Amino acid sequence: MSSNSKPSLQIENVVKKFYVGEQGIWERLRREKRRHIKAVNDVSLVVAKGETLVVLGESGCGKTTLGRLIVGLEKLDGGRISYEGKEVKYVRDRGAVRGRLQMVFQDPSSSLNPYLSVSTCIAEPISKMGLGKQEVAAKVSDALKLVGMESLFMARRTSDLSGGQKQRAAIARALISDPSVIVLDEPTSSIDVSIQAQILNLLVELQSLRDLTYVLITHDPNVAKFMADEIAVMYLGKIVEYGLPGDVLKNPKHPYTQALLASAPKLDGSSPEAIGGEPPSLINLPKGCRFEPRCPHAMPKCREREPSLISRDNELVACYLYEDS
Amino acid sequence: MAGILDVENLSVDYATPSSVVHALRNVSLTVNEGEVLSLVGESGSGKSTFALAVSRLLPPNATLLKGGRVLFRGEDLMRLKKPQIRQVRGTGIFMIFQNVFLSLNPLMKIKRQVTEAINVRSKRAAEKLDKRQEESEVASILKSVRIGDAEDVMERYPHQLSGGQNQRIMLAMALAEKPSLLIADEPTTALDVTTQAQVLLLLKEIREKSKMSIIYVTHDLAVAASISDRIAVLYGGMVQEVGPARQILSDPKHPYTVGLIKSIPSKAKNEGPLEAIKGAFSWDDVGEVCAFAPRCPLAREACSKGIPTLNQLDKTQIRCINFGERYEQ
Repeated sequence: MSSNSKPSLQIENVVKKFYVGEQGIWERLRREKRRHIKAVNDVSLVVAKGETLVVLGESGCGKTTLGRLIVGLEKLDGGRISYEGKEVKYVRDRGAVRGRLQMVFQDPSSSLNPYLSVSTCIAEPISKMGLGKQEVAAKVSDALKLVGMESLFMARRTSDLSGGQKQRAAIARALISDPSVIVLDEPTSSIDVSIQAQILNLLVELQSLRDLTYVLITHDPNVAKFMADEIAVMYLGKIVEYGLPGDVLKNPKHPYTQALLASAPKLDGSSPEAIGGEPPSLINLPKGCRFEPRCPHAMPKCREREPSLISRDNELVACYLYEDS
Repeated sequence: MAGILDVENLSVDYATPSSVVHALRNVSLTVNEGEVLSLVGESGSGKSTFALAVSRLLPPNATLLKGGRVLFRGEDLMRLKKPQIRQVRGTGIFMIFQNVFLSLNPLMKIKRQVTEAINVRSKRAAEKLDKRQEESEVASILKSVRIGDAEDVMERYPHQLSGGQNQRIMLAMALAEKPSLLIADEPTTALDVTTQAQVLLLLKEIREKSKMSIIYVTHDLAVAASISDRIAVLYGGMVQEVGPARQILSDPKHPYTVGLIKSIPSKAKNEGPLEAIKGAFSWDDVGEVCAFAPRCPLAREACSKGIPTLNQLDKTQIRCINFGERYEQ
């Protein structure tokens, strides 16, 4: 979708399945097919170098799985992911590229080993590169400086850090191997509001400094608005709307995007609007559009066949409301 | 004016292996009949400790300091013995927590858990309900919290339901007991945005229908904005600003409240960086000075002379020397 510069990250028709339920001996003997869900279902996205793609969605929509696929932490069940023309492989596969793609996880308290020192933690991505001790120490201190922490933190245990410091350390760990793409999975959702702005500012600063490409996963429209060059809205494994933040957030087209934005509480004290129902489970998806059971605009057509992404006013949207009339 | 809950000079200390943490210091707050008071603050602000202290559910390493009073309908809850406090908890105050999976019994069907709550009320009101009446009341209460297939959900266990459904069942139990004060500690933090909106609207509806007073604990100013009549902003275990919600949100006075509102992203990154509050909260800053001073853009020498008093300005109270240089004794 991006017009300027060459794509840094290309995600084409990516599918990830997870098996559900136990397969007993009887099912195995009868060679029954195991039931599976598609956590990520035919997702295609492009991110330009130095830009941020925000994946906006609620829990269970597959946004974290997509993030893990991008850095190779999960094995693809279909499609292709490439960055700068090279294919991304599953980390355990031979020839997987390491270090150029990094991920910052949601909860730094569980993604940093509490028993390790800050410097050991941050040096992990480069620990197998055969560098000398002093070289590693210099790199760690550089990475810490980048995220605004002093070198005196190097000897501390990660469990002694505050929430904001931990997330800074996690970002330093992602930066140390000089990556070109960083997947940020809800980087601010587990830290305090007063620290969130600091971390977001830091991420933007680092991006322009290092020409980093970000995939930022969030459920917060405010964070999305601040960070995004492009936004993809995900619902139950599929992209339902994809475009520029000015279009998607200001003038949302898909009824789900509209509902998501309307239900976010606002500072002016206006009452949030709620849509009914719960998202259906991925095991039992409706036959037609997956948002149809909750959609205020549902038509008979929506129940029969799933809409595919169509191009409309500079955006992609998967909804029959915008089909050629 | 005496409210349904009058908290006076409440102070709570936590003993940790190495030191003593003053989690709450001289907090005085009033909740009026039928009012929603939100407690807003970040971790370490003391907001949850306040909620727990009022329901007398503090962990064993906490000490209530002398001089504090929690008057619930004129009765000091801090002086009550265990059986009496159980009575209050069952009928007067109801507390719901962030993690619903921990507050519901995983081994009991939803029906039995809601029935328990109904029984608490019927015992108090000396009503006699037979099994069938109970069952139909469970169903109607579940329907009133918008659980569609109530008859089906009644027969299920908490793990078979979603987080949003479970939180609604907690609300159903609150409705069944008809408490006069509901304390909700971050009830929607673990929920999705769309589910959060459903629960918030439900709370508003309950409050209008049953005239329940609510203490709503949250870290999210926007959530507080959508539900509260009054907001108390806590920092470092003290009330920093308290007043009518509209006024605090549209015209915040305390530098911390101003910073909190400004740090909510409202623009795009190419319009410049966000106005963040510098530094982070630390227990080391909590002492006989203004706890926010180390992070405050307006800090000056006088801020470390003592703890500023709450200054009355119009309908709000602000603990900041820029609104009157007076210090606590």
